[in-house]
Amino acid sequence: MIIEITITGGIALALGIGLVYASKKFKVKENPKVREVYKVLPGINCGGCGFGGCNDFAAAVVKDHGLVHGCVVGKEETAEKIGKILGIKVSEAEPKIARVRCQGGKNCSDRFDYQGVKRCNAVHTLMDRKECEYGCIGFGDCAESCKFDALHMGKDGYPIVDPEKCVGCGKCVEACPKELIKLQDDRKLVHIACISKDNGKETREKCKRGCIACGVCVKNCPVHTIQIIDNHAVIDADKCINCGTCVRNCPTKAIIMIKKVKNVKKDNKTIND
Amino acid sequence: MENLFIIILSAIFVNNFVLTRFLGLCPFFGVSKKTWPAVSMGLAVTFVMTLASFVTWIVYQYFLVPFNVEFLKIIVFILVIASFVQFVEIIIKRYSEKLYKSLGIYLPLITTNCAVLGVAFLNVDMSYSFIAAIVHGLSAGIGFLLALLLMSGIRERLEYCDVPKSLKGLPVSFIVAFMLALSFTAFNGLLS
Repeated sequence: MIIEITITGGIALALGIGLVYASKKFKVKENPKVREVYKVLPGINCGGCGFGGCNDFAAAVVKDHGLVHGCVVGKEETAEKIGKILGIKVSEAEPKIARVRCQGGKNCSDRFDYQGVKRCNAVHTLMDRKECEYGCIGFGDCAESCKFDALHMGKDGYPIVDPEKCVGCGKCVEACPKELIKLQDDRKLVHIACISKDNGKETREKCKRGCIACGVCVKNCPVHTIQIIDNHAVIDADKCINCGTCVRNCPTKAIIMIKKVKNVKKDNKTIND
Repeated sequence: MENLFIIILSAIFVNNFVLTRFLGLCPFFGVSKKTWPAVSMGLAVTFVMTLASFVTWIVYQYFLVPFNVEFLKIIVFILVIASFVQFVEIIIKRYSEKLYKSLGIYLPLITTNCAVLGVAFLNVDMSYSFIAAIVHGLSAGIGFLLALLLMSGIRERLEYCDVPKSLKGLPVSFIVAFMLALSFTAFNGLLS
């Protein structure tokens, strides 16, 4: 009797002590700022920011200051409060916005007449519907995932972002199986709407708006911020000055300049939609 | 010295813990919707099973057998396994937030996973040596991982199929599991 109790009790005690020690040693240190930010949030866990709840948003905004405008309920007031806690100027925070890196859709030919489930993820799992394997499939999984009504499938079969409504939550980025959507700094207006790794001739055959890696943009860029990587142009957003030279020179119109809505500057020009 | 090769083949194919012995069905159905969490779960279970075999063998041989209290193995094994799963959870939380979030509730569920306790008991029943016990635990985990991998691959594609409304989700998964288990009986003659 005594032996059984001793053995079981002894093992239990040893394990218990071991666990207490482990939990202290491997403790995940929560940034105290997360707690502070959480206190200034509305606390209703509506999920409007695109995150699971106010706690998740607090954790995310401490990591990525660009999300400071993310609370749809609290709006500017909350953004100011969060800015004070994090020590950043709210107007200087780099708000992120979704950029769709493809203008395929109807501009890119189909390989066959697809009759299956009309979801991008389904098509991506099973086959390549479009000639261009890197391009937009066009069934709108991304538009469906957007809770802010900021992403819609355009008339040409690829998604268009509404810059006024997009808060940069990133749900569309996750939804796209081709990883076409990327979050970028809102104030950088130029982006390359093609990530096709096919060479110029192939791209030209497959899609009217694809980047053929001709290099005209590279040659004409005044700040030398464009490069050709993997058969398509890539802009280093940090150095880009939004002059639009590359946009004007691109033969296939693969480079786009976005209309700026937040923090409007006076010499803002729209070249393409 | 038992033939380790036979133990490995047996635990992975002939006596697959999920598809032949029908242990560990809870995480099997719960985590097999997508491949990434399924594989992580499989790896976590493999790790726990190996460690559990290791620790329970030592505890059995040095704490229970010398005092003739082998019957205590039921409680003691559960204690030991539960503590080690808790320990694994602490480690995962500290080193990989993403993995921790994707496993969610299923990590502590490995504690009550009869597959892990099953391995420990089988090691005792078959009187395996120390090395054999660990190898058995490892192979059982690999078999579990294999079953999970197969199931998640099928379930991912099942998402886009026209399943009757009453069978959507878990019911059709059980039917799939039945077919998988049936196909695994083909391994019965492997080691005769």
